[in-house]
Amino acid sequence: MRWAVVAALAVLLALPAVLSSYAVTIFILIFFYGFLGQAWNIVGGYAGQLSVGHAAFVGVGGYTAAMLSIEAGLTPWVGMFVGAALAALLGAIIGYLGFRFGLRGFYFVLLTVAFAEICRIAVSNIDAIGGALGLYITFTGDPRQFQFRDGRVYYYIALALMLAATATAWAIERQRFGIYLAAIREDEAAAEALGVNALKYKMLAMVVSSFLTGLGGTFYAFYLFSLQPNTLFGIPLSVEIIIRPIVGGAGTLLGPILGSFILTPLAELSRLYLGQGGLHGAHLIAYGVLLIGVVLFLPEGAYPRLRRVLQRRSRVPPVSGPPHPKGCPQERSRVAPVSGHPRSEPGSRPPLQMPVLVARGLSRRFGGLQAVAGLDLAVEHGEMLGLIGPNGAGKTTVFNLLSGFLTPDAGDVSFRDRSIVGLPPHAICRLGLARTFQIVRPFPRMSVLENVRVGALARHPQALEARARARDVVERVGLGAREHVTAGTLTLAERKRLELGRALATEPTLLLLDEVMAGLNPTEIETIIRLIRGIHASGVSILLIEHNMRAVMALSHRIVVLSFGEKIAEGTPADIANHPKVIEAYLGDEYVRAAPA
Amino acid sequence: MDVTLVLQGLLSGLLFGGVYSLMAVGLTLIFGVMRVVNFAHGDMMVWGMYLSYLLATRAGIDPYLSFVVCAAALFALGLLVQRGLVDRVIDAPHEMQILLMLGVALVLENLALVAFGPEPTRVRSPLGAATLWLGPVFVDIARLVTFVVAVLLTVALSLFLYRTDLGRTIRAAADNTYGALVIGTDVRRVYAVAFGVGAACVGAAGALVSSILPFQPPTGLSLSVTSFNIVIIGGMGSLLGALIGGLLVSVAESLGAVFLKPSLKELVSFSLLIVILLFRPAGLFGKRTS
Repeated sequence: MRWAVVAALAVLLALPAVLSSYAVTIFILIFFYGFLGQAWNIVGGYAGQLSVGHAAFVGVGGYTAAMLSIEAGLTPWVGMFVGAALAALLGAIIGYLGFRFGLRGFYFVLLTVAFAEICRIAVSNIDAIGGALGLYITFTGDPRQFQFRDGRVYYYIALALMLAATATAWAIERQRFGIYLAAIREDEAAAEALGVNALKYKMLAMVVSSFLTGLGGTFYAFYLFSLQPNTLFGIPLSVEIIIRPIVGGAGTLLGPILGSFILTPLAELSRLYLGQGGLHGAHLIAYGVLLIGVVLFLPEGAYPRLRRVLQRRSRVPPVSGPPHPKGCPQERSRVAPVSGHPRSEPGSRPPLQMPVLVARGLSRRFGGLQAVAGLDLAVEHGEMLGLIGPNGAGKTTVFNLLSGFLTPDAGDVSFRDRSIVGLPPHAICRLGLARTFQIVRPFPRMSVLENVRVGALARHPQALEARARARDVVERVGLGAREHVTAGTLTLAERKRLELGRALATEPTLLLLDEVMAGLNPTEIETIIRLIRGIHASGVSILLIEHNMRAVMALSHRIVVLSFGEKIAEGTPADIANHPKVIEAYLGDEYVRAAPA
Repeated sequence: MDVTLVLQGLLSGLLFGGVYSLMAVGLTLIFGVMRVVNFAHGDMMVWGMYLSYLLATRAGIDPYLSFVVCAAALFALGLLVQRGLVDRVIDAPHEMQILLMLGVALVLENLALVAFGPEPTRVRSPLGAATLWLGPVFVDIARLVTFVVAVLLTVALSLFLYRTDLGRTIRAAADNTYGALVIGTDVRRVYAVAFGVGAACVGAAGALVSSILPFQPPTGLSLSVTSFNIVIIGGMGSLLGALIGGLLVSVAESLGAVFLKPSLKELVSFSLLIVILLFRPAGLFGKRTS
């Protein structure tokens, strides 16, 4: 791979010596659109926030540098950074508004389109910067004014821009930043639960992306010597920016470059051959047909497909990140022995009389439904507390209130002696309160190890160290042999253990487990009970929602029973099993078989 | 500021809003049922305009009659696009669906360019020049007829969705695709019909405005963007939202042209959009989703 990159670079550096000036022009466009695509890829691909307004950043960058050069005589070599900074400011504003208010998918698309259009209309109406006619730059051929008589200089500048953006993307991809972006793209709520400050990282991605795109504006202005609001801020340019990375493979390092190498020459050649003879638009029809074809036949993009073909040919199994250490045992027991006393009864490690989590008067209403009403709940240090109740009793709502996914209408939650009401989920996770989701939410396109690593990054910001920690956790939850498998292909039992492992990797003080046994068969339940006991024995307090009576009776020190949002009973498993209200509300004859004899 | 001018702007905007409503109803129907955003919406509308232009110039049929034919033709086009293309990416990631529809938009726009050339066109209708004075303000008869027909079509569509079995099936599939599948709904057929009806809306809308609004192939893009605005402002998937949103945006643009200047009129609707997105992202009539 490394040699392939060096060879490709050498060829690209030497190429202008033998190319015709028309071919040089095509390569300049390939590099330039590759650059813009790569810049877009950081927010649109890696972070999965589809911006269709990136032309605005090109426009702001280009206009700024051009105006500074025309009016103040400032060299574009400096002006380009001023323009990029302004573009980044615009990106920060759009990003803040969009992300702060939780706009996703098509809503974010439209917000970006709307901002770009507002910029376009505004610029068209400001006569001081050329109005609808735009700006023209007088050609002087002065390199200090970013003007060159030899087209090959533009070739090298465009190449350098593309390489710089790719290096930026490469650096991001390998660090916590990039891993977090991928997690946000896959499932933002799950990422938040693992300590990822989604707002912060999406903002960062937007700022980096708009800064780079703004740099591109200066190149555009001083390569074409004219700036028209309709072309520089228009939706068609935004579309040109996004289609190459999507065609090549959004969120991959080489996708935008590959996409540009495929699409740019095709666009140029079809313009050359089909655009002749007064047939306006024929080449764009071909272009449109090409886009449709790519979507239908290469739905994940060209680069992922190419990579798979190459890997199949060289018969190397897919490896993400550094390879296994040598002599790594392939056969592993399904569940590694856990520290402590795996068979210990709950009483063997008594909880301290010191609450780790206290909720007082917790209430939450959904429309006409009082989901949780005035709930008091305390989890002691080292305690395993069961939370049970019939379907719809409000158990998951309680979890959402405790972990910051919902804010209570009334009441307070304090965790380790500080109030956590109003804190976002990621902050609560970092304080040491982790949760799992009842309906498991793995990051489906990441491997098992990568999933767990997202959790580990909450405590170990270095990607490599987090990886090592994640590997320990993966081992501990018995997924060691499956660590490179894509999470989307796991069985339900494995997903439940992955969910547990991911939360565990955040090294919590208190773990909230939401029905981790639901849907599992008896053997799998045995496995997960052993696992939970082991986690508890290592010093983690646990709050457990569970419908499996046998398990919850056997595991819990104490049990709290909810019905219609209210606590109807609290006590030891034996108390609960004999509590008339509980029997009435919920247990029925079930407890006869479930209660420990 | 002249009060008459403002009143006139208000009236013209309101009357033109009927077309905006019809256009947005089509988009919101397609989105509501399939969760697919039709980026080719405006370009489909431009084809409706050119179709009525052809019918008027070649066969002498007035656009206020030919809109039925245009709606039927666009229904067929929508059906084809859904069956042939959209259906294959219905489960694909968001960005792939957008890319596909952008491809369709490019093809439609440039087919129009090849077929009809880049010059702005307008269909002549006897109604075009007729006006009616109401005190100090005048009513453009063409706009009035357009408004009435567009609102009637929107009402008819609502009746179709709420009062017929097929309409109820469409709403069921929109609410819960999986549930609809389970009870034996032919969801693919529902999708095809919904896309067809959505496209038929712009077919009719295109024909109706073809004598009011000069058009050329690139008009489609700005019509698409306007439809998106309206649908967000009114609330994605809400028919009432599309209807009211269309009138609102049209009036806002019309008043924007009066108070600011014509080239700034879109600024008003985009600003409105941003305010809505930030403070009521579900739209004026949309259901709040967390």
